[in-house]
Amino acid sequence: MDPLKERLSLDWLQEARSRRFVPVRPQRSVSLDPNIEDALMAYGRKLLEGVGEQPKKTVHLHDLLRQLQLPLNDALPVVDFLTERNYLQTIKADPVTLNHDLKLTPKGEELIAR
Amino acid sequence: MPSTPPGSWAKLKKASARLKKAFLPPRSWVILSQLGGVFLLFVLAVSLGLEDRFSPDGRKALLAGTAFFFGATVGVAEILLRYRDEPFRAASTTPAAAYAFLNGVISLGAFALLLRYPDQILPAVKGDLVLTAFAAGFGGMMVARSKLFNFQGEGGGEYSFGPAIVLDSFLRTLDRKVDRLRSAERHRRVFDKIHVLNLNQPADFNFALDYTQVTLQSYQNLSQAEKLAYAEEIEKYRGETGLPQNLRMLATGFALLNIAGEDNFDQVMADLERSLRPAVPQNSPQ
Repeated sequence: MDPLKERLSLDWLQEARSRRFVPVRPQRSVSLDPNIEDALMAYGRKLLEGVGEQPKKTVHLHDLLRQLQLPLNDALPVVDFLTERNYLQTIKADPVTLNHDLKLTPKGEELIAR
Repeated sequence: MPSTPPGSWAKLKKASARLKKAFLPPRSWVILSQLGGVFLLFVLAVSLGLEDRFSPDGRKALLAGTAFFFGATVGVAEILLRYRDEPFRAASTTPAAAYAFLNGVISLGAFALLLRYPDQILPAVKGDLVLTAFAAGFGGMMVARSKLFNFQGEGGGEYSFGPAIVLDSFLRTLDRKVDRLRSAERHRRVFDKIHVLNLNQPADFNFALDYTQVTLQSYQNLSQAEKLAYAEEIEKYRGETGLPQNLRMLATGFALLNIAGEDNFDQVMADLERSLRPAVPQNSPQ
């Protein structure tokens, strides 16, 4: 099907496909909806600034969220996103309580320094 | 269909009326009209022949300045169209000023070339400095944006060759610079305004989405297509249940900020917060 589309130059089909909404759980290879990406970055910046204020730029996720008064449910997809984009590094993952140990990466430091 | 609970429409209507009252013409339009006024004065001065009062060299200098001004104006217009949320803030950054300057210099170069080689380039403007300045100011940018040919790479990507490459690369650099300058500010603003709404209840979330949509009715110059595109985006975020409501509302906030600009965005969010949590009237002592 796709080669035929290419041969007939049905580029608009490609365009329509690219307009479709790309949902949560971002992957490196997938480009996100720009507003969703901005939303994740806006939330993520808050988290990164919180981690950056810690002595060794390392923190338990639950402690960070308690300090920032942010709910875990909202923060989890953001932490995934930041880890995917290499702004945060998960030093130790806790799959049961989700109280991961997080560390700010040099890329994350650069972002919050702006 | 929006799943707004009954009774919310009354709140929405009230809020919409309050917004219509509160909205003044955005500051950016005032600045734009001032710039437009300066531009028209320039054009009028040249068209009315005021340049005849100058010596021949003075005329050339004035019209060279006009060509530069036209070119720079085209550059500024491009930046204004590119950054929708706060176009004037973007246009007043150093990279944007550099881009406008580059556009002006290109027009100035076109003016010099048209003066030197009118027969070879554009015989129609020969001997008419005013026409030369207009042609160089606006036509120079057309030449600068031209692509001589396209080349298809092995990966299927298309590469253009011609003067447009220089401007495109400059514009890409400008994009990155302005984005860096603006993104932190945008992120903080939207996060701070949305975070306080604390939209954990689905009814509040749906009300907030509908509310932002209603506010768009206050915009007189927003096209139906833009309103429709915004409505589609809102419905997309409403249906994306895999993402927490607060994150979806943040995404909505960015979509709104792009249309409304910062001042109006702040106003809408303040009104939304009041509508979500109306002040409890104090009981007066009997």
